[in-house]
Amino acid sequence: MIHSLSFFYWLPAVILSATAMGQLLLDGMVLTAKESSGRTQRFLFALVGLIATLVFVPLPKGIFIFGHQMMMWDALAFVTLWISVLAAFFVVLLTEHSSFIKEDRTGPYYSLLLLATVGLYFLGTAHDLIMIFLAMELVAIPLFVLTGYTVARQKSVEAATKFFLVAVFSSGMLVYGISLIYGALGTTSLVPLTDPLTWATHSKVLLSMGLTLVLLALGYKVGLAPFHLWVPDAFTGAPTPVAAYLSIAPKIAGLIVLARVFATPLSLGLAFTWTLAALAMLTIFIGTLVGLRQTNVARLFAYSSIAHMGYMLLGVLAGTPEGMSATYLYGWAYLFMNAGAFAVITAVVNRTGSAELEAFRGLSKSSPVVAALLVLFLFSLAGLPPLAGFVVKFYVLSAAFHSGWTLLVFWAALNAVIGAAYYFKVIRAMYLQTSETPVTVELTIQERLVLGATSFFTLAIGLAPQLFLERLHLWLVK
Amino acid sequence: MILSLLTFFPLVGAGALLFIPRSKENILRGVTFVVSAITCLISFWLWTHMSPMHNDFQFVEKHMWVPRFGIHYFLGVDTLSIWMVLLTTLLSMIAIISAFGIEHRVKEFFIFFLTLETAMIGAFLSLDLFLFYVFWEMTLIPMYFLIGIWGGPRKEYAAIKFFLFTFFGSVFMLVALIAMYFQNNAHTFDFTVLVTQAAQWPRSFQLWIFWGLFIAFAVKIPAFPLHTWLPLAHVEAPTPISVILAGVLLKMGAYGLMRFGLTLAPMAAREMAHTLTVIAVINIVYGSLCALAQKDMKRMIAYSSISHMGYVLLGIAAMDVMGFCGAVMQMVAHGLITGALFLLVGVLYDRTHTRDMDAFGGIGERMPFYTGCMLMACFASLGLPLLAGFLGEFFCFLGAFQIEAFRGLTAVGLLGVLFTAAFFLLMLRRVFFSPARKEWTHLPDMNAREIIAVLPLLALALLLGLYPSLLLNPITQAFNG
Repeated sequence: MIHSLSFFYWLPAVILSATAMGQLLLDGMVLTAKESSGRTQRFLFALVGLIATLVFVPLPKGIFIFGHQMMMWDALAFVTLWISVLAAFFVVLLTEHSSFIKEDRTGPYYSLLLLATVGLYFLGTAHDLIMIFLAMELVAIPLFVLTGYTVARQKSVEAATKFFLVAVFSSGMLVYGISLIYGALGTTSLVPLTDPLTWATHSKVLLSMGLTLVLLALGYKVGLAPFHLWVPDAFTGAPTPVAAYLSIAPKIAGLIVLARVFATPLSLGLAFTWTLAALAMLTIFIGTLVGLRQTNVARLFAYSSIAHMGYMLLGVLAGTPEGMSATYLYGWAYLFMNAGAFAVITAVVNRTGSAELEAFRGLSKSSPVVAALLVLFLFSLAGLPPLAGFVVKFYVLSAAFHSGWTLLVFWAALNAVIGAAYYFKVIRAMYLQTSETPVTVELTIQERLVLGATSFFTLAIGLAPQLFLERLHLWLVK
Repeated sequence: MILSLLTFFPLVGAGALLFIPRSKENILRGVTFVVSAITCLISFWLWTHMSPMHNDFQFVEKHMWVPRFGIHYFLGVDTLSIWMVLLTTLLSMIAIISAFGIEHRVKEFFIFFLTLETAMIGAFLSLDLFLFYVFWEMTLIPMYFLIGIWGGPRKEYAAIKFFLFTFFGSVFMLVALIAMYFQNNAHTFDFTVLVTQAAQWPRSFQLWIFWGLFIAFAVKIPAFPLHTWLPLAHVEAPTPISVILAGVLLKMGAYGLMRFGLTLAPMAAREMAHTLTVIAVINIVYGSLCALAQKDMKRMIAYSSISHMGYVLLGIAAMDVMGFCGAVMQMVAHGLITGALFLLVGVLYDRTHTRDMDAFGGIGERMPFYTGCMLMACFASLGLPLLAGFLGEFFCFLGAFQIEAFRGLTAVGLLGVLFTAAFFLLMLRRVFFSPARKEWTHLPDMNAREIIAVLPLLALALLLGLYPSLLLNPITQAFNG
């Protein structure tokens, strides 16, 4: 009976993997028949696969352990999968007309994207440190191939190499950390880690060392400062749709894993609390301050994503159900506002080939709707009411405040002001400055779909957060 | 419903503008004017239908918005906020008339303007602190564009400086709001509930709250030393926006301080009254001295605003009925008079493209009607009796003077009145009554549109000066009750 039930929990991974493999097969068949066609079919196939996955995502009814005790289906896994699949969905839509990806190479591209999403499924459901490690690898390998997908561009290759080296290095740390924890506990399961008693009965030194290494490795993966240096290079080197994916899915999933592993140590108020607080503080600061100096929009968004990781970390740091639900809601809001912003950036980059601020000059005159939408997303990212970004920032800050992190909240709030300054650089270029040859953006149907959905949710989460909150809270408190 | 209608009518108008093609500029202007006129009429209707015997909030609308945080959609109006709303709707309408002269990106200008009007009215009517914060922040967004796109040579810098200063202040308010939310056992942002609990909050907590709120409001007022955004923003903004900035946005700060700052941290506010008085006196004297040193007329008026808002702060710091009456009176008077002054400077600038006082001479002979208006506005602003400015100033000083400890400071503040008279009179002499210059011999006098924009403001300044009980009676009654 258990076996038949667990099948449903495997189903999303099965569908995603089948689509990924199918892409490669389809690729082979189409290529032999005709050189240039097939792009649309591959695109539609990827979309269908993703939609089917979403249809078959099981609802989190309590906690379900499966896969030889190594996986767990709960609210965290559910939210992670939804965010990842939606991010992949938006990215697929944006890729269809991307000038970066050559006609004959979309098959492997979609395949890799879907495989990374499978990895995120495993990351979200992981209930064992080994599983976390495997999932991390499954996410990282397709992603650095995707980052370097435009081989002709030297930047792209450089970015992929950097990303690869950092990923390998952090994987090493992760494995070493896991081995130390295994040495202390005799198991790699997450169960003893979430049990407060463990800390009383086992070697604290080994455990702390192991967990610190795990924390550092996760810090590299999600790009917390001071382990963030690969992020801006990866964002500028990668094709813009891939940068959009990088900025959302793996980061949010990584943060959720971090929350899962460190929930108990945090609630016990162990030394990690201060390490995490310092990381959050530094991440917000670096993300904001260094972002100010950027003139390339992709780089600017790389730093913006770093800063937002810091804000989300505040919710984790709160160590309360309130804080967790704040982090989730932040994840949702971030998915929509960042995907929306990247949709506009991708549209501009596709038409101008440049992500420099100059490319955005005068956009408000040549394409007022596109410019207005980007303004909406930027305001949301800057945390201005009444948009999603404001509500979630407010929620995260109040959760952290409630847990006693008063100064950290002040710090984050002040950084939000500095952060606003760099989002306004883009707005200034679009509205206040003019250009003799402003780019005109005629939106494709795919871009319209992405922008419609993301702007709708950016507004909806801001104006009616209760619709999203109540549901999330219901799952979490259970 | 009437308050929601009043608040969101301009926004609906902005929505309607989206569907009008941008080439039909006159239709855009007409629709915007009609929308602002109807908004003004609604607020006037509200004023006449408010029960004078009733000190509490009226026309209250309260709906749950976000139950998890105890956030309400909660609007209400009382004797204090109605004056601010009247000022907002009136000045918006007049600013729109004066904005008919704008020819660059007309459609966007009016859309931003109407959005701004909704945000301003909403801020004055909100009784839920979260909602207030939302509207408060919402004023920044259109204002950024209005200064940044249609402003003068340094518009980009002025716009972002204005935005960042206010946003910086706001985050202090945000943290204070969160703190209050967790401090009150009802877990709500409802102002009427918080106010009943505020007195029991511990002293240190109140001090934190007070400073959090005060920094946010001080940026807007603007209080020394957070005033540096103001001269830049006022000078760079186009005329209609300068009118709104000086006439309404500065009042939002003073209004916030009166409504929320003093009531939510009562103990701290009394303790800090002395500090507030010091800041107020610095504002008065420093603002007027800076104005004295200006050559640019618009810049001079901007600094005079700092000085005049110092009077308001002084009245508030007195924390007695007299002081509050003075503060409200001064707020309304300053809104009307400074609005008129900015419009008048705009008139001259449109003709000559300079605001440098030394460049002018003998304007009095060339533009007699204009000169008459300017004289009246300047005299009203420097506090000539029988005009609105005098009573506001007078009551602010009187309120503060009644407090033993503030006497010396208040006396120093009175110097500001002298300096104010000095800079206005010097300006009048230099620009209007010095020997005529050749280059200005062909200046036409004010046209009908300009007269229609300026006259109502001057008329109201005179009306309030002659018949101050229109405003003072209900206000006194409210504060006594």
